[in-house]
Amino acid sequence: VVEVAAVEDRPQMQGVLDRVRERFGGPDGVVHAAGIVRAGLMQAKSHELAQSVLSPKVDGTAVLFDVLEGTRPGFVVLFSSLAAILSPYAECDYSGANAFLDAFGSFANSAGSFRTITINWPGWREVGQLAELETLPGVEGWKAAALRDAIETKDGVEAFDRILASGHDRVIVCPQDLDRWLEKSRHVDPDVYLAHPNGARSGTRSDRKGLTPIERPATPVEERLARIWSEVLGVSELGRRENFFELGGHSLLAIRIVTQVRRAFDVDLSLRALFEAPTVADLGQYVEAVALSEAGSGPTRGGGNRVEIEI
Amino acid sequence: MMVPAFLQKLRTHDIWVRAEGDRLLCNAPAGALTPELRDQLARFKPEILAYLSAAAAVANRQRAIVPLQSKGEKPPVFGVGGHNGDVFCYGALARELGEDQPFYGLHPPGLDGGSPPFTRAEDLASYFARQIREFHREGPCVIAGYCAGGVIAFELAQQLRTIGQPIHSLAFFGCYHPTAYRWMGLRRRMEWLSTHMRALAHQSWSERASYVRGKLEARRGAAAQPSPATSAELEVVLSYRRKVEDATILAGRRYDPTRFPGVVNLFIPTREWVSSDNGALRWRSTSQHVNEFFGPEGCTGDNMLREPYVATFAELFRQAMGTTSTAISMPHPAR
Repeated sequence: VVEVAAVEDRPQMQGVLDRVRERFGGPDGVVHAAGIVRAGLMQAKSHELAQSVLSPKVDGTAVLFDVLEGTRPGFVVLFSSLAAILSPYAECDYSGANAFLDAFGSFANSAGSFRTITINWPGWREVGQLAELETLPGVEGWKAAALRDAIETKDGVEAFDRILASGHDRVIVCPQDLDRWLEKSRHVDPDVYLAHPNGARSGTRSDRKGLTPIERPATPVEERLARIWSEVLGVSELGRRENFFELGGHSLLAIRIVTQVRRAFDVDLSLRALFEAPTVADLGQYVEAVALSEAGSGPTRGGGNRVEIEI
Repeated sequence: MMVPAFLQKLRTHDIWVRAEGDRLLCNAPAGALTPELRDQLARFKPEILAYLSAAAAVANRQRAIVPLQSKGEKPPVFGVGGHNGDVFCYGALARELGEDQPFYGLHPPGLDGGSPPFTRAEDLASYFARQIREFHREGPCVIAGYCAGGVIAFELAQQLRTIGQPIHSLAFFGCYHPTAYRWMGLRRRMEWLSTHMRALAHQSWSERASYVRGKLEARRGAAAQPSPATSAELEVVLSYRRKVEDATILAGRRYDPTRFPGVVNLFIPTREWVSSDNGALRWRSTSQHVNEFFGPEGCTGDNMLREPYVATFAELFRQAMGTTSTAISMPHPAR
């Protein structure tokens, strides 16, 4: 029997539990394995993106234990991750979410009426979140590196059986020497993971702003500006109201944008302009105004085939 | 009517419009200005003149002045960046000081390749002073310097006073004294020589030859192969920055500070950071009113304006502003 429910949705979870009770008399065991990984640099993550990673582990666990109140399953297993211990690169939200699970597992055992087992898993190579993961642009190398250190399904299943039989409430599954992994996690070479050299945040707009529809450039000037910004910042699908500084813009990137805009539009743009007009929409107006104000640099006399008149 | 769109449309016909006072002048190829366009120009002349006037004002604003935080009623801070001229060094401090403290960076010429950098502190200070005077006509201001920018900030404060701009105080964040730059080149060469001499001292002749060969090859390789992470365009921007760095150091080396009649607040990473190499405390001799503020252990010139130390220096800056508002100087040695 397969029931589908969002773990953080209380009515849905309550519905599943009611149907389990109705059909089987109650759950003998519960495995909470829900989770989402969105590997990406911290500065590339939006609040919404981090929330989507935290929610199944944090809100979902709270909902699960709420609906289980009054039942007595033989065990509840919380699938945590080595990310909570290693605090690896590109997983700040996922690391925090699993750290919550670890702490909650201890709390549940001290306060609850059923056994809660927390397992800190490594990645699984053939199935699960890692195998199906789509990394954000900019950290493509992350998945390949993580898969190299992942375990195979048969090893994971065997470990799970042994843990259930062991009597331990907290188990770390590590395919290699844990101390060595801890040491390795302290010395990250960003070049291994980083695809974009600029150091600005990267990613598509939907990564950055959830499902908010993109406000596309509205004029030819804005379109050209957006292309320059996208290239320099390493950002695709740039919205015309997105702020240069919130996109991770720093001094070198600002100078590059100023230099390119100056060349593209043949206007005398200063760094000040970017601070005062930090979006494509604002800068577009600025560029148009400066271009038009520099009309004096065009022809100013009659002669040849030209005429000059006062209106 | 949308004036920008209309003017853009005229541009596509090579029709140029400009304002001279209340006059609207139109330059066009013979026959391009149709009666219809002429009629539109006449009808919307006031709007077009207003737009051109506003656009000219935007274009002619003081380009050196970068608003890091433009709100607030306190005397504004105008900060000269470090040796590379980067005003972003003040970003965290401006944020930390909050929305009641206006904070502007001073962007030097040369960073975007538009014009060459100045190699004399007096010239760069004059460039900034003119623009500050136009930008901020009323009330006192604070002039800040970071690292090598202290030399420029000092000369800037002197020039502003001369032209009648009241200076609340000078704020130096980890600033080297100009004398430090005079020996900097020689000191670096000596350090370089000493490092290699130590490495060679206990080697055999064949090992020494191999060592020298290896170093030369590494140097040639580094010169021939730019970093894969840098694009050609980024290299150009970095080359502009290097020119500004060289120019700032040269300006510092040439500069000879005279007595400043106002308040100088020295914000220094730690007491241990002060050395004869940076001469940070030699600024004491430039004013009768010098206050010294030291940061916590672990703080250096590189990180003093970044997290986690920036909050400390923001607080010290607020204290300094409170102190100097009544022009009370602290006795030496520093607290």
